[in-house]
Formats: sequence, C-alpha cells, structure tokens
Amino acid sequence: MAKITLDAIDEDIKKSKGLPNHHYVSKKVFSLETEKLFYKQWFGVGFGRDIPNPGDIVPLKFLGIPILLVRNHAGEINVFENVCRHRGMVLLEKKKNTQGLIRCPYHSWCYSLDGELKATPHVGGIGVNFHKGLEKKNLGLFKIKSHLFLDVIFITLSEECQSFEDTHKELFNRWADYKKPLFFQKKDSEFELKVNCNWKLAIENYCESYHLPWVHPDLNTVSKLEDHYNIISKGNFSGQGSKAFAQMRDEKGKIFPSFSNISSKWDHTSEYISLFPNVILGVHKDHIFSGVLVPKNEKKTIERFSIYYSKKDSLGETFNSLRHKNAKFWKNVFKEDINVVEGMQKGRKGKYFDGGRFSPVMEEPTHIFHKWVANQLKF
Amino acid sequence: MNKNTRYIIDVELAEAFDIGDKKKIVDIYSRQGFIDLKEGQIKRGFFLITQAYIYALEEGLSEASFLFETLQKAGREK
Ligand code: FES
Ligand SMILES: [Fe+2]
Repeated sequence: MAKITLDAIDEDIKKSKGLPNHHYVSKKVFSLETEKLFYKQWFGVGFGRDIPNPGDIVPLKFLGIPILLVRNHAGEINVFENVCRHRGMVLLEKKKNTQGLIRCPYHSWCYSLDGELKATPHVGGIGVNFHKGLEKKNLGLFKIKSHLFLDVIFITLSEECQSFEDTHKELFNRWADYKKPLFFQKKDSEFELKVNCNWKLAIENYCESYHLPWVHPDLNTVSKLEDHYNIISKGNFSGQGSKAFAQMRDEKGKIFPSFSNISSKWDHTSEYISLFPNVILGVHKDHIFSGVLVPKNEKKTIERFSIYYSKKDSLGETFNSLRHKNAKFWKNVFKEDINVVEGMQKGRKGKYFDGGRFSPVMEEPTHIFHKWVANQLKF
Repeated sequence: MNKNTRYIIDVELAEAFDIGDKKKIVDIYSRQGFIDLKEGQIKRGFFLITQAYIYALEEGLSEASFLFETLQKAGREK
C-alpha cells in the first residue's frame, strides 16, 4: 500500500496527490479534523432563517457541541453554549419562541436572550434568590463568536481566530455586490439532503466544473464546460464561475427582479464557491443560495440549502411557479451529485488508492481545498 | 387556610402544569403566596412568590415586575 504524507499534497498540482484514504474513513482523523478544520476556523452552523423572529431559539448539536442559536428581542443574532452555568444542564432541547427568558429546567436559573444570568431562585435558601458568593454578572451564558454572511451563521471556538471580515476579506471584496438584504420564502426555498459521504467530498465536488458534462448533462446544455472558469483564492475558498449565465424564465417568459445596484458584470456571470470548511455558496444577479454541510460522522453528512431572492416581490404569488421551478432545479443539481460523492466515499475503502491525482487545468480549486486541509492539520 | 383549600390549589396547579399553562401557574403560585404572607407564613409565601416570579420571567409576563418588587422589598431579590 502506498504511504502518502501531507507534503505530497502541497506539491505543484502537476505532481500533487489528494488526501489519503484515512481522511475519509477514520474516526480518529475525523475528530482531529473536527478540532483543526472546524473549531479553530469560522464554520457554518445554520441560517438566519432558522431563527426568523425575535425571541426564536434553536438548540442544536453541531459536531458534538450543544449550542443555541438565538434571535434576541432586538432582532440580533446570538450564539451561546447550550449549557447552564450552574450544574451544566443542557438548557433547551426543542426550538421555541419566547417573549421572556431561557429557564434552565433543573433549578430554574434564568438567562436573557443576550446571555445574562437574570435569576437564581432559592439560591440563598428558600425564597432568597441571591447569594453574595454568586455574582450574576460573572455567570452569563458562554457566548460563542458568530457572524452572519449570506444568511449563514458562522461561528468559531477559537480565541486566536481573526474576525470573520478579516478572515474572508478576499471573498467580501469579490462579492461586494451581494452585500444586500435577502428575501426568503420558507415554503419553497429550502431543502435538505442526506449523503453517505465524508463532508470533504461534497466540498471537493462543489469546487470544480470538470464533472459537469458527465454528472449534470442538463446543466451542460445551458452552461457549457468551456464557459466555466476556476476561482482561486489565496487560502480559504475556491470554486468556479460561469460566463454564460442566463436568468431562469417561467412559462410566460417572466424573470425574477435583480439585486439593486449590481455591476453589469453579473448580467451573464454566476459564481459558485466553497468557503472552507463547510459552506457552499452560489450567486446570481437575481438570487443566491447558501448551503451548510453538517458532518454527522466520518461517512455521513447532511446538506442543508436555502435559496434567497433579491427583492421582496420575488416572494409574491406571481412568482410562485418560477420559485418552484428554481428550487427544483437546484435541488436536482445537488441530487445528481449524491451518486458521485457517495461513490468516492466507497472508493476510499480501496486498499491501493493513493489519494489520486488532479487535472492541472480543471481542478486547481479542488487542489486548493486539499492544500488548505493539509496546512491546517500541520498546526 | 384549611386542608381542603390547599388540596384544590394543588389539583389546579397540577392541571396547569399538565397543559403547560404558564400564565395560570403564575396566577396560582402568586395568589397562594400572598395568602400565605397575609397569614404570617413568611417562608412559604416567599417561596411561592419566587416560583411565580420565575415562570413569569420565563414567559415575559408583565406580572414579573410586581413580583420582583415584592421580593426585592423583602430583601429576597437583587
Ligand atoms: S443546572 Fe441549571 S439551574 Fe441548576
Ligand atoms: Fe455537481
């Protein structure tokens, strides 16, 4: 069996190999990657649309950690560890909307939606609700750094990690045109896929356009392979773009309104980017989509997607059929990929597979992801 | 308060918990709490008022501020 080191990945793409099999099948590597590729980075955990209203709270377990996504009464997003500062009870198990506070089910310590500890009933004895040894102001919920970008809620557990803006300055500049309000329609603009593969394979596959004519033949009729270009970053994202983008039309030829004040460059351009580690994004002049990959274990991933429109009008009844058509189109594209990402997962059980090779012309974006992974693991 | 009244309150409270009617829980606890205080059952009274206060806080009910003041005046809440 060939032994591959991570250095073999850092090579020039003409010589470079991909990540070795154990990065896809080993539980041990999965937990190492959880530490280094997630906890130390900014990673996506959900969407703003998961908590659309003030007072909405969603508990979730992401890569093992219990967290709360909260929209406070002023409408701002907070992320907390879902653990009571008293005896470490998980605070909430089910999502809810509240006009009040978060009450721990164990001894009823109560926290505001900004995380402050507000009440500690009977803590000083029956009917005495404070004690000088317990300073409420030091016992608020542990707040997790978060940032909303294209409606994805990103968090980091690292103290040293730069701000999200600094980490992703390159992409911010590239997509400055899309720093706009987004409009979301719950009933037809979200979907979820369960895939039996390591989360990295979904990212790798999304990065490149090499597979389009084979896996998405329909897509290839509207947007041919030669219309695509690679998107290469200095570090933490990569992807592909199309120079033949054409807006989708309904039976009557109607199109969605476009984002306001957007450069004419986007008239025929669309771009698709994997933001490392686990977020995939696509932008078009009239809608965008965001996807969060939720790794369940080393060989199971849930892909959650949302589609957002440029104008409130696009959510109206006159666009019902077009929205439906658009959602169906994207869901179908991502479904078509399931067979290949699951197939690559099965292939990682091979005894001889050695990380494989990349097309030097077509797969620089995938290579960039592998290099990113290898480099993060070195530290 | 006689034993019989207490029994009725316990049944009422159990029902309110069963259906998760927090407003009702707050009402029952605070009503009984104030009765107890009046009857000189101080510890029990503030216990119940605290219970009412916490559920009112959880639900964001307006009763919370009055209950808070009551507890604060008695030096039981800060
Ligand atoms: S563990 Fe939360 S109040 Fe005791
Ligand atoms: Fe694909």
